[in-house]
Amino acid sequence: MVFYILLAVCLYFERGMDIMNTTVFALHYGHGFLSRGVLGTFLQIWNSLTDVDLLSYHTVYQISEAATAVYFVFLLLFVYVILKKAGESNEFPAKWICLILMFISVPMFLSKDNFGRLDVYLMILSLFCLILLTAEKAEWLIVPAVVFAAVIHEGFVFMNLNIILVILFYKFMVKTDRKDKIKYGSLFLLSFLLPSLLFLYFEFFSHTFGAEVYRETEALARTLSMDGGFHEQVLRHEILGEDIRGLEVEHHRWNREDLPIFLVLFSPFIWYAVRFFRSYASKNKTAEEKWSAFAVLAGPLTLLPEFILKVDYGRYIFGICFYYLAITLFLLAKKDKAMTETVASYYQEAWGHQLAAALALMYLFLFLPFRSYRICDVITSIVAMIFKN
Amino acid sequence: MDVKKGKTEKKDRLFLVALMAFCAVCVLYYFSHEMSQYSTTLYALSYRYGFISRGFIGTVWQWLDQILPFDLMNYYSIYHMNLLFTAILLLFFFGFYALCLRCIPEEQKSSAKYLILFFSVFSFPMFVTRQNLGRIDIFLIMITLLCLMLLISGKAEWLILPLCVLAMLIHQGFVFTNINIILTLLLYKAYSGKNKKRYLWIFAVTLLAVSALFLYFEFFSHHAGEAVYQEVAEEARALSQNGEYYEMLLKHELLGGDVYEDEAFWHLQNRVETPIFLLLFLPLLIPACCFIRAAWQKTEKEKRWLYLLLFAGAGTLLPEIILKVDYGRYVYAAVFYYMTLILALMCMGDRPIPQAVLQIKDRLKQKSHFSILLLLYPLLFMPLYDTEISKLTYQIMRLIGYRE
Repeated sequence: MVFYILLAVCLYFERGMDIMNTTVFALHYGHGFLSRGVLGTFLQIWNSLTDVDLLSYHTVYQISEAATAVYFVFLLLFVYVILKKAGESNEFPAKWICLILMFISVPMFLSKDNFGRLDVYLMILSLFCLILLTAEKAEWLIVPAVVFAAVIHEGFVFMNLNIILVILFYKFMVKTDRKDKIKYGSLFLLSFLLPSLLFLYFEFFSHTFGAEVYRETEALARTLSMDGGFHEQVLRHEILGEDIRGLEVEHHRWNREDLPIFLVLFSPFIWYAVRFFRSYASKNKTAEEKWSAFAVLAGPLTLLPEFILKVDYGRYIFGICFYYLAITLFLLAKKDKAMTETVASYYQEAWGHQLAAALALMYLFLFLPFRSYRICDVITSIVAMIFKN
Repeated sequence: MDVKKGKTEKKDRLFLVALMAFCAVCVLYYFSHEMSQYSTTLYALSYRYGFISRGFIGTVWQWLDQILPFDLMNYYSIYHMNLLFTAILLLFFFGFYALCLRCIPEEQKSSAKYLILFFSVFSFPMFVTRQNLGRIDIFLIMITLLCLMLLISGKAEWLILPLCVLAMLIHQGFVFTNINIILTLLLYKAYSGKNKKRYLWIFAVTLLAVSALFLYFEFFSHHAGEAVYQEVAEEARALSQNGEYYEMLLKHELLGGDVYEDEAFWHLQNRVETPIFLLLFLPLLIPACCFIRAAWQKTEKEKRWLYLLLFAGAGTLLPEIILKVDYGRYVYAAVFYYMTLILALMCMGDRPIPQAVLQIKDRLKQKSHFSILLLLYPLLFMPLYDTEISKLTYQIMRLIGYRE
């Protein structure tokens, strides 16, 4: 897997940051507690502590390189913990699912669209929480972690919090000890409430800065970018509180064109996943198991508001794929009976059709990397040919 | 028996349909939507200026321009026609695969399908990138595949001679890059079955004809003169996307200029990139060497000289590797040679090769649950380029500080 990471960096790394990802570094708490201001605040503090001018594209780029490296480390740690817990009986299926998770996850933050994106920090924190939940160590740290993630980007509550909440809910349902039920119930409530409150604050009460702050932030954003540009929508929304749907008309059009084609081309995997999770769901017999299974299956529904209101379909598709792979691995690691049986039977099926499995994995590669506004390059290529845009 | 045969044919059709779907998405993934000025410049060469090398395609194109009611001498027409030619090339691949699956015995089909899948990873993206879209290699590959199909089916094999001559008219490099597989299989058929004289005759005449054409094109055809050069350069400008043409190509073909020094940069790049590529390609090279060893051990002693020729056939690429710079194309040519060789021998009822394939396949499966990743591994190297071997090795070169 380390070898794959090294090759993937060589293959997919585009060595550039989109203005969206540099502009967010211009947001900081100097003017108030605004959303997405953590990294900008960190940069301001660091800049004030050194004699060197750190407010440059070069610094932001290097911070992003470090964050991406940390992300890879956490991915590997997560895989390590999963494989340690999965045991010998689930070893090969778990390894294969881990490999698929790595195939999808490693290239995600290497493209220009997503390199240095705040999502990488959210993923680091999500993986941190997943490791704690799988290893069942210091799980109380999940609460500050999810709060910190929501402060980094309030979109965390839609994109990444789902898997943490589902796992906490699962543990609450399956644990029989009263102390465990209280523990996981409390963790679930706090992990749900605190980020939600932060989301409500950031979404409705934090966009009250004026034109002067906007101009100041715009100037800083230009300094931090590769080519002197800045992401107007981000600043208009975060500083002035403007509704930017009018500025995203073209992006919504891309989404409408990309999504159906993607669903058609990705349908073999969707069909296989539906079969797999239906089989998993049918193996849950008791009320607690059925509720847990329902939560597991329905977790990505938190992304619906994003799909309806926002435009980063590439990120959302990645979020869904990551969710289902990670939750499957978690349940395998916990030796969940229904999941273990389902994985075992599907693994046997795949092992008996290795040629088809190899072709399917090769086919999966053609969708990588997932991007941001555009889902992936092959879909963009098809849409360009059909709609001549 | 019929029911079993029907089931097998259904599985084969399903495999090919799945492969076609993969091909379509693969092509769209790697498709660059543009042709390089190297590929467009070739269409400016024609026999109007004498019997020059690589003049055939341009001659046909310019003839079509005269007889058809629309203008073909522009980038738009060449680009769209080459999309069609590339689609035809891909159909040739599937025709070859279908024939192989029909001819290969039942018990070897599983191995053959793995080989076809492996081969397709290299072949599908090869001619859709900016570097290789519209490159006249596609005609050479089509002709080679056609010759292979004639050899496998044993029908109209006399067509091999005119087809190889046609290929030489298209590009004299055919003598190094693609004719090897045709000649080695002719020798194999001569010494393994019936009609030895017939195959030796086709082999000898084909070898003589292509060699004579190569010598003519290489040493006697580059004297068109400066006036012709300027005329062709103007036409090449009109055919390109950005009004530029590939100067080195015209300098060599029309004025007989030696481009070795002009290509010094790429020679250096090749020397840096090749070790990186070979190192990364080791996970595939090692099983390939084990396969050759296994096949060698299974070969009868009297036939070993023939199998030595078969395995060494890709050695015709050596002059290109030493003197020229398109290492991406040569890597593909080597993969093409060995994959088509193995598939063709399986079709022809060979014994050692299929046994060696099965042995390596079983050994890999036993050694590791993840041996199937060897089929996915080449995907990381795709696409193969021309002067650069692949996107991956080129990126690594940049990472280690080698800069253009």
